[in-house]
Amino acid sequence: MAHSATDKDGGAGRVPQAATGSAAKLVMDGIGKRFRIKQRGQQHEFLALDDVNLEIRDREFVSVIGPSGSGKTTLLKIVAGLLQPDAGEVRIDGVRVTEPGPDRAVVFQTFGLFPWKTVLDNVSFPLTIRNRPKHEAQETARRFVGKVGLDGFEDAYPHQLSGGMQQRVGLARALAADPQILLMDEPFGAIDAQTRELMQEELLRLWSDARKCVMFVTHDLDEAVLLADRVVVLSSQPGTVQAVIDVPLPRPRWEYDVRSRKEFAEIRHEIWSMLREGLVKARSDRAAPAGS
Amino acid sequence: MRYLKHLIFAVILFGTWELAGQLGNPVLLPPVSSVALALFDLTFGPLPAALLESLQLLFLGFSTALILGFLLGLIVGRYRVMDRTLSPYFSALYALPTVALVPLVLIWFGFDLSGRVVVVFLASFFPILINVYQGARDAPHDLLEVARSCGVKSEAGLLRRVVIPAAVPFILAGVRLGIGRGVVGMAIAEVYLRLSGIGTLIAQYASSFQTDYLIAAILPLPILGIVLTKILALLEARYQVWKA
Repeated sequence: MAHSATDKDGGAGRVPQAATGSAAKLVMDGIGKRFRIKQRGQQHEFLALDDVNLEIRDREFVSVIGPSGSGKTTLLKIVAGLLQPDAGEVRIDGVRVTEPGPDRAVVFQTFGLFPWKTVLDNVSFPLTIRNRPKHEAQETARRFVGKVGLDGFEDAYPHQLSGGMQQRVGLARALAADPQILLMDEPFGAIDAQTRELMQEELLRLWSDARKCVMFVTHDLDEAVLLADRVVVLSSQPGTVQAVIDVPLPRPRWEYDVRSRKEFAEIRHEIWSMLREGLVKARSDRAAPAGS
Repeated sequence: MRYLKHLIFAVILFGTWELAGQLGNPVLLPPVSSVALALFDLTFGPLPAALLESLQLLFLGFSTALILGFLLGLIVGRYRVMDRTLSPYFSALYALPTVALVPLVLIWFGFDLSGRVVVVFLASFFPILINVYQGARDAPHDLLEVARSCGVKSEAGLLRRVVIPAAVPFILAGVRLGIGRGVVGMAIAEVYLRLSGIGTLIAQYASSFQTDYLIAAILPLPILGIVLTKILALLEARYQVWKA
């Protein structure tokens, strides 16, 4: 395999724009996480993440893909500081992360908009919490509402918007907070297919304007390849890094119709065979004890 | 046209009442016209002062119930230990009719104002407590995570930014129920604990068999209930524009 998990330095296929030195911005160092669940009155413990090691550089876009149960959302929440790992640590610029901070912003799968707040108040929320003056927060929020194409909807309430529009608000809120790292948890998973493609393109445009370090969790293979500089494949139960694959497709990707390129299909196939292998193995693992 | 069926029904109801009153014994059922005259007479007589006294009682009992019910509801809803320990007792007390507690309140608090306030308090407190508790307990988990990721750190911040706003529909429903029950508690306290406010009027006309005045003295209670509930419905509409 040409691109492997040990290939942390990026490799020869890296796109030139993203090459800003090899210093890691975000480091996941030996992350482990256990969950206790109660089933039929018995306490069960299962290992969601086991020794996950991953580095993401500044201005790099990394997709994390894996089957359901691979703990990819758990990993993102640990990076966000919303969950504490049982083993290992997350570091940003060498500093250990223990709680959420202004250096990170999260885009949630279920949008996470406050239904009692207008679009503008939702977007300015993180700024208000960080005690920016009201007019300044509103001004910034207005700018980002415009950036995601929602001019004229500033005073609408979330229930008046479609799913795609709601996630634009979620994206605007994350960007308005001006984080160094953008954490996206299956952000387009709940959005219809056509709108999703449009939003992927818009995300690429926004990202090319303000190059943030992005960790993008998804279970959509095409999406993972289309967006990222590197795709991290997590295996299932326990979630651990199975492989890291470079995506040397040219940017800006919305100009080159990258989906129809040969390399796209090749990378897609490579990742799919890996995922497939993991899925088949997981199934036979589960079938074995049940049959005995 | 919307009001036509109401009008027809009212004409039939009050017409029958008037007829029955005119033909029968006015002590058992006074005609509606004499009830109306009695109400008119009371309105320019002892009713305003009595109503004011009753409303003071309602206000004291209800506002205490609102404050304590709200605070306790939040605490019990937010802390699992409190939830597990206390919620069975709340459910039991919620199901207990306030009237059954009146003799006990009498023994503990006596006949004066404090005893009456306690009765109104007990009537209003549990519906408010239970609703606030449910609202706080079911605070949307995803929005709590959103708030934390946006920089809200303290429990007080989470309460103010997420838990309380999300619980507003529950809180308002509790307040509406609490006010309705509070009016009932007020009437009970004023008639059974010690005569005061509207209770004085009711007891006075009942003992002298002035049934028309008795009914006229009772009428302000349902009217009060309707007016207070309407005000709250308006408040609910005002604060829930964000609801689909």
